[in-house]
Amino acid sequence: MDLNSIPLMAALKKRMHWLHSNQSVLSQNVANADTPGYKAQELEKQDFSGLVDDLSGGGSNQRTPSTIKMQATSAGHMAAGGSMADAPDPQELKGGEESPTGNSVVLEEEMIKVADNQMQYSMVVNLYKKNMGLLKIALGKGRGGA
Amino acid sequence: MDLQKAMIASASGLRAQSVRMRVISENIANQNSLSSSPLEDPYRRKIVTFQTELDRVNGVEVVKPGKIAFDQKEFTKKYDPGNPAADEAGYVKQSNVNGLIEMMDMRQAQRTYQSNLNALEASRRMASITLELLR
Repeated sequence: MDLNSIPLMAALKKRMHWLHSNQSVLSQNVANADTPGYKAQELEKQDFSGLVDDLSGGGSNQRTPSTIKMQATSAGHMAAGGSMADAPDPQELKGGEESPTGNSVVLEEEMIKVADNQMQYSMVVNLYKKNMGLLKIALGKGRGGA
Repeated sequence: MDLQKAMIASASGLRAQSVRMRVISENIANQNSLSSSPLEDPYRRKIVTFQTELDRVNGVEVVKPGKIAFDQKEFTKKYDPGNPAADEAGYVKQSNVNGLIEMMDMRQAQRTYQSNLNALEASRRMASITLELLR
């Protein structure tokens, strides 16, 4: 059995993937905090509940629930059939203050985002662990739970 | 892997800030360095420049310390006719390092270094809790 055939597991995996990408974008921002002309970047927010809905709503009897639909936020967006959408492209962070050198990284804000990212990540990992625990209980091995 | 990218970016930040720290230390150490003759110039303040560079192997935007430039500010002059570096009027050129500016610069470098370290630590912790899943 493929773990990804469980909607929640697949959704958690995508979430972890996004949090990884987000972490690297945040690190880039912090590293370039003193580079003149550098513009802070951010990833588009991931809609987790939408992710779960997409995965579980695609028909419970279907064999391929592991594809995620791309979000179309504008009429001009086309649907793409790619399975694992690659890490989304970071975009420029809008509306931040800018230093005289043209750098728009605010170190404090980035630090908060890093902490938040980490907290969310540990939450997702814990959820994943608990789910594995459930499976272990079903298998009758040990007491389950981590 | 993305976490590795994050760590590469943080590491580049750490490296850039330590280069900056080194140059600031050089400036402070040479604050009072004068020339030995009136024809030469005393110590000229150095400035580090940073630039964003795309690491093509890993696809990360890292920061690289660029060329070390010289501060073009004029030297101040001090009246000291006994000094071997004094000109005919008895003035000696002093280096254009301002201790206060250097201290502020150092503080900023320190702060950014700390932030990079925090980001690195966060990435590392994320990686380690992922590995915990295997247990």
